[in-house]
Amino acid sequence: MRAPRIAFDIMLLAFYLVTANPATTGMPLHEYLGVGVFVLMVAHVVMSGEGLGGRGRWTQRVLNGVLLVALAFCVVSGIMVSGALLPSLGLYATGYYFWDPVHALSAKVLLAALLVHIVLRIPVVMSVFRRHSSNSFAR
Amino acid sequence: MKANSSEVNSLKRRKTRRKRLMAVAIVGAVFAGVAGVGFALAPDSGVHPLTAEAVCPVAGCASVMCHGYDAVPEPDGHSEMRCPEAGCASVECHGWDTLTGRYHQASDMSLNLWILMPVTLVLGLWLAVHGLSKGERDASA
Repeated sequence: MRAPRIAFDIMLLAFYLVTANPATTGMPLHEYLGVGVFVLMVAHVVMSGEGLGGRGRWTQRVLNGVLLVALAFCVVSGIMVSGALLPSLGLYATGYYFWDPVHALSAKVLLAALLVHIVLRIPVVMSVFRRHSSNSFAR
Repeated sequence: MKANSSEVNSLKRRKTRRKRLMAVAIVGAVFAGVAGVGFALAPDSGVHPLTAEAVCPVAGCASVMCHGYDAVPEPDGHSEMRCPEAGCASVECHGWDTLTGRYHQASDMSLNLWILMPVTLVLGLWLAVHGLSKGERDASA
């Protein structure tokens, strides 16, 4: 893992944490930020494509699967309860009373799984930082 | 030797590209699957063009003078609301509460904070303890 990738992931985490608290941003901004975070998360998943199938322990692959499914439910249900993004495109969605609880539940699962994912990745990030700081110290 | 290393590099690049394409395909399949499951469980739900005749997804009202999401009216005693679950229409529908206090409003801030705050606290304490014990180890060595 390289330092620019870690910087990207930290920026993504910061964006996500802001988006995950709609009471602080307001609903319209929450929806637009959500689209941005979704695009960045897909970029993150694609850039670390090995995590979906090939490398890592089976527990890590299960966690990645949970993260992906929770993200998918959160995004699809988010679109279906959208009150700003869809109308701005000249659209509206029915089925609010089904999709709203799905959105709330999947957001909680996504948040919990993401926290576990971050805690598991902290040693890798710390080792990169340590290597980076020792390299700059040697120079 | 040089040719060999460039071959290895191109093989690595091809392998990475294949893995990324596979990741895109998996992500697409998961999203399509989730949308499929959702629409199978709620067949009435769907995305429609927003026109003047479009029915309000909460109140079932099809007024041309739609108040939108930002100016939800108070119960006025004569406007009926159609319940999306029971299907009945009433002037005293409890759905008014949902419309004024719940619909398109953030409701989960407290729960997110309840998850985030203890995690931040535990991580902060762990980092503090880790840093202090490292300082002690360095001092004794």
